[in-house]
Amino acid sequence: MTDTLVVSGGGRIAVAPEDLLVAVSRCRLLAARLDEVAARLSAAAAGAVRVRVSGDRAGDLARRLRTTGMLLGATIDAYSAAERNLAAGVEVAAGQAAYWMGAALPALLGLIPLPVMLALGGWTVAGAPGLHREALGRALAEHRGLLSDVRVTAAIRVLAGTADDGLRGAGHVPWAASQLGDDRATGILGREAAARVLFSGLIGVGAAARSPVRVTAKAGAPVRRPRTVADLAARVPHPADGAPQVRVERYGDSSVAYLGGTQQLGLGATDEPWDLPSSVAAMGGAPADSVAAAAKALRAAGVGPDEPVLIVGYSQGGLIASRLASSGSFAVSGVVTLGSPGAAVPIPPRIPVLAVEHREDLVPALAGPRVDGSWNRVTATRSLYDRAAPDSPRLVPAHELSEYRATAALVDRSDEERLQRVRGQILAGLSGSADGQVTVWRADRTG
Amino acid sequence: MSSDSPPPGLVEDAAAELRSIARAVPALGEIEWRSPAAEAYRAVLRGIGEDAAELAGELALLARGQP
Repeated sequence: MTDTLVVSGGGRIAVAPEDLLVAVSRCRLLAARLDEVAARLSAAAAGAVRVRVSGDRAGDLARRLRTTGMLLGATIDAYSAAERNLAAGVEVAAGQAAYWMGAALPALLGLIPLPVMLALGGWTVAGAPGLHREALGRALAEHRGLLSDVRVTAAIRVLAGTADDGLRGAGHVPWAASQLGDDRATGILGREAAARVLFSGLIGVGAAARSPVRVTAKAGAPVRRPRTVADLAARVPHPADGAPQVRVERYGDSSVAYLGGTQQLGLGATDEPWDLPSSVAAMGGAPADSVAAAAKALRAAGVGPDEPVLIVGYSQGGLIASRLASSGSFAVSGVVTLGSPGAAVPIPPRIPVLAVEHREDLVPALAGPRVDGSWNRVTATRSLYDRAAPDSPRLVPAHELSEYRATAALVDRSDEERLQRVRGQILAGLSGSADGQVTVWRADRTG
Repeated sequence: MSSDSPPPGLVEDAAAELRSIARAVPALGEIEWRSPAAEAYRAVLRGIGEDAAELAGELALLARGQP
């Protein structure tokens, strides 16, 4: 386990462990202190030659240190640029492969003998859904370690980014139009569109349904204003069957909303809006019951459209937070996401975004390749395991909220410039009284 | 020290500040970075630290009026 965070985004190309980045800025700070010593000695030297020479030598030391820091920064940038170009090359190649695989799918299926196709189809349709689920559950349990392997999460990130290419190929979208519709160009036929197609498919086969939602306030109590990112992470509702999914704290003219993670992992229509189909819908930008429920809870708690609100979300909650910020329905002052698959959601540049991820967590990887170019979004990534993931009853232990709470504390302690900036911007939005009122909300489908 | 020398307090303070910087500079190399460039970076920092410490020592002597 490492306590070092890798910081990316924030308008800089550098993707590096925070201690390297902090060393660059400390070189600058120490060089400035040396310059100050040099200036004081030179100003006071008058006719004292040795003092004047000492001042010159201190100035030389400052220049050497400043140059060292600049070279370190340039090395980090060059390494980051090379890594980014390599990753972009892999993404383009994987996207092209997915497109042609999709285009060739009917021909490939035609190679399978008809009896085999009929037998497979029959097994899929006639086999008890429970049996399939059981087999899948057994397979996942037996190979649990794979789900926390950083090579697997990296592969999932690349594959998630190619789903749209594959779909465009399968839909026989002409090559040029496919390239034009990709996220690297207009995005009209990009990852969001692919998620919308998947959601429509789920509705089509009855694995998902849309329904009105009702929200119920569970409790109200006085609360102290959060002062750190760890405070924010500690207040996110823990996902549990039937538990409240939303917590709203009101401090005078500003509010903080905390959104929990997915509560229902299976497919099919249930009363739980925080389910897997809602996550797919929200990834695609389609109307999602969980997003609608969160907005309803915020309004019911009294958060007006012009009142600054900081939104903190874990897992699907982070995706909902990004969608609410993107929608413009609320005056979102900042977004904090913990293990969220919402990195592809475009958020207006005026809203600071702090995304916390774990390398071994496959959930954020489902968003596909990161878009780190924007100034307002800073991502802090932590690697939880030195080697294999430890034995855990959890399927993806790196996605646990408790782990993200520990990483949030590391974000608070970091001296890295971008993390300091985004942390300051997000916490500065919590103006108003130090004492507030908290309400927790449970949302259910009514249809 | 001649009459146009700076006050000893100023030189003493500069020596103390340089000693503090001399300690802090090599510490910038104590980072988890495995690369051939990392060794060169650490060597440069050590050199700057040693030179700062030497300058601090000379200034301390100067403040005490020793040649």
